Amino acid sequence: MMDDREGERAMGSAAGGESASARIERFRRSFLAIEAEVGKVIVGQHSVLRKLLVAFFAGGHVLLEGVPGLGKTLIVRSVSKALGLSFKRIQFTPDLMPSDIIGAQILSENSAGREFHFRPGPIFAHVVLADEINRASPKTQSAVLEAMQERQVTAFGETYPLPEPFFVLATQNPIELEGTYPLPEAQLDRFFFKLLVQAPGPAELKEILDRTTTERNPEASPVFAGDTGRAQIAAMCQLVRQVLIAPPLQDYVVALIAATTPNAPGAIRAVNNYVRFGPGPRAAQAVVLGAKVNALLDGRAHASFDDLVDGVLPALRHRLILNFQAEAENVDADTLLTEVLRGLRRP
Amino acid sequence: LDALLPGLPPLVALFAALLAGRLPIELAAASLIAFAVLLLYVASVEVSLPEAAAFLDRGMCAKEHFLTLATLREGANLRPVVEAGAIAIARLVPEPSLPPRRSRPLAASMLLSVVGFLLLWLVPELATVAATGEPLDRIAAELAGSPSAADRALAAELRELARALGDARLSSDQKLSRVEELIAKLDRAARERLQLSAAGSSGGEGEEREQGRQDQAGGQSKAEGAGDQPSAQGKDQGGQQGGPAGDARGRAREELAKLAGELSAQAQSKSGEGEPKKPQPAGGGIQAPQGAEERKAGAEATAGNQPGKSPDQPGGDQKPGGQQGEAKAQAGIQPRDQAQGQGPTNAGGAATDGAGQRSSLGPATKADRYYKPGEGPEGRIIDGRYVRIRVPEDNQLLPGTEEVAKPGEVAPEVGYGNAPLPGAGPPGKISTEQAVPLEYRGALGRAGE
Repeated sequence: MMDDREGERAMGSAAGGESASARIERFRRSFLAIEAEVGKVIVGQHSVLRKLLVAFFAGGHVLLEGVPGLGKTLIVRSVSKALGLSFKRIQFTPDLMPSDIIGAQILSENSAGREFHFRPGPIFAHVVLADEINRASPKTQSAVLEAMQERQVTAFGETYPLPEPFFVLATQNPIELEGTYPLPEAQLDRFFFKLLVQAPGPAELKEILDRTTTERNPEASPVFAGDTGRAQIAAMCQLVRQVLIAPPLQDYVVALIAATTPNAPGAIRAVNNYVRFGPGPRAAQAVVLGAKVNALLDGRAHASFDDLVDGVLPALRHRLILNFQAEAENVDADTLLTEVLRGLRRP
Repeated sequence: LDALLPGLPPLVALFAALLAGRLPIELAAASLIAFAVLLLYVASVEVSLPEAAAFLDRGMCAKEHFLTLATLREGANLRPVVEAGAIAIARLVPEPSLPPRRSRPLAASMLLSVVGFLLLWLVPELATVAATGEPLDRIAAELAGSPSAADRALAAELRELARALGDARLSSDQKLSRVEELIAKLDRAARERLQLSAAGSSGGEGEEREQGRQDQAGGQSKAEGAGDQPSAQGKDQGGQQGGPAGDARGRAREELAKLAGELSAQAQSKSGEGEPKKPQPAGGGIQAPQGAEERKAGAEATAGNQPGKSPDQPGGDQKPGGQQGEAKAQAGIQPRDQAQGQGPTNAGGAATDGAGQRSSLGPATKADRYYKPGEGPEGRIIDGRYVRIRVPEDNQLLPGTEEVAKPGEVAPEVGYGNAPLPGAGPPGKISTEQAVPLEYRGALGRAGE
């Protein structure tokens, strides 16, 4: 093993002046600052907020699920504010059309005559909140697909790139399912994490009352601002990709995906009984990238086993398509995943 | 630890056997343990680099630092950061104690384990030590507290014998001879006490006691020869002497007789291992120990009251090879008693109840006198070789039936196998027929009954 100073020199050369450990420390401080700013507005929900930011820096999108009134929209708005990024909200309704999201050709008249030009829709923002996404028709939902994955929009034969960073936060209500269109598997797979927003506890509820029924009106301040801020965010996202992960840990993720795929070698009996479709490669990517962000938050340049396990439930729960038997027996994805994790051998 | 690994199961078994005094059972357990250890050895004989790194991570509470360094390719951008972290951990946390190195070939482990087992089989004397050393010491302790100098001397001899039995250097034959010596010494002392007490008693009891003395003197040599007889003698004489010391002498005599039987059985089994096995007759059955035949020979050699001999003469002891016959007789009787499920103490007790001082001859002597091979009292068969028995049936009653016999009562299917049914009962038992000694059968025309 090399000496400490030798290591530092190597790190410095690798980072083009700034040492790797300094970059990791800066990442950690920035991340915690964003959390603190959002925490001024949002009471509790620490886990949701942490994982939401993890998904953001890993370059993914998040599906938030919770009953109305838990602050889902407020979280998203506060995060965008703290990140200093543009924010657009789209309220999904059954009559919402794809053009309402991605934009439309507008006929305009000028000195040269009449011509169509593209007017961008609300999808052209850094942070997009797709509120109650399951209320729109599949046609409209699918309009978001390309945007989420390719980070570009095609309208009238023209392709328009979306701004970087691009972050979609969709919310859906687990109740009042009448008149809704459940998200198709293909679209669910596009979401990096699915986070469950829980109701606040008594102490948190009291704090919410204090903040919302008095003259205090806390607001999140932007941690990053302008082009410099976006460059910083891009650097942070790039650092996430550089975090190391040992091959045995990757093997563990592969085994995890196999264990949750029905009729695959290594699948447990419960998975074979209750799962219709298992998670795909995007699930494995989400677990690994989430682990990398967790490692940076812990000040490490390599992912650990605990970092991996921390992201398994949010990354896989919406990618596990359960069958009717599971629904009849009230078996949910989290229970199955916990059982799978218990049965897998740690590397 | 690595060197001890194959020897561990036999050692554990040995200590367990010494504690419990049941070597064969522990041997079976030891074999299971040995196989488990060997399987464990096979399973973990290969340790890969990632496994070793994971061990370091666990032992030093690192977060996969060593695993990452051990498995990642060189040249990664952030690798130096991981190395720095691992160095910091290695400086702060003490090194974990490494598991035992297992570099010995599997064949060597198995060979050593097998050698350990063979060693156990070659020292069966340890079982004898474990099983019999304690009672002798206990009895010796009781005798040591006696006011009599003779008892204290006997206690010392018993202790000495117990130590000799624990000596692995002595063979079974040597131990057997020591046990026999002490038995003979005990018997001589008992006879002397008996004679002294008889001389000191008044003539009112005269006739019967005189007869008993004659019988005893006549059977003197037999008393030395029969392994199960003198226990009754010792017990009886101990009872005459009275007090705890006499009782302890009786028990010492019993223990020694038992020891002699076990040691002779061991000696026989050792000598019999090299011989080819005799073909077994078809039809099953339980074969009596070979000691029965030897006992017969020994009994003939030591018979002081055989027809045509004066009971007062030393008898068979004077015959060439008589000494050998005596030892064999001792060896032979014990297994027969064990095979019939009847210990020497029981036989002695029964005789004492019925016949007072004459009981010093013991019931076996009477049986030998009144029954020829194939006959026997109380279900016993002199020199019986094969018996057919019926095992007890389940005592559970079927619904609607009632029990007509006592629970546990066993009725033989056939009297007792292919042996002729016994004639009259033993002496002293109420019977319509008079028991006829063997030597008178021919004269009375009842031979072969």
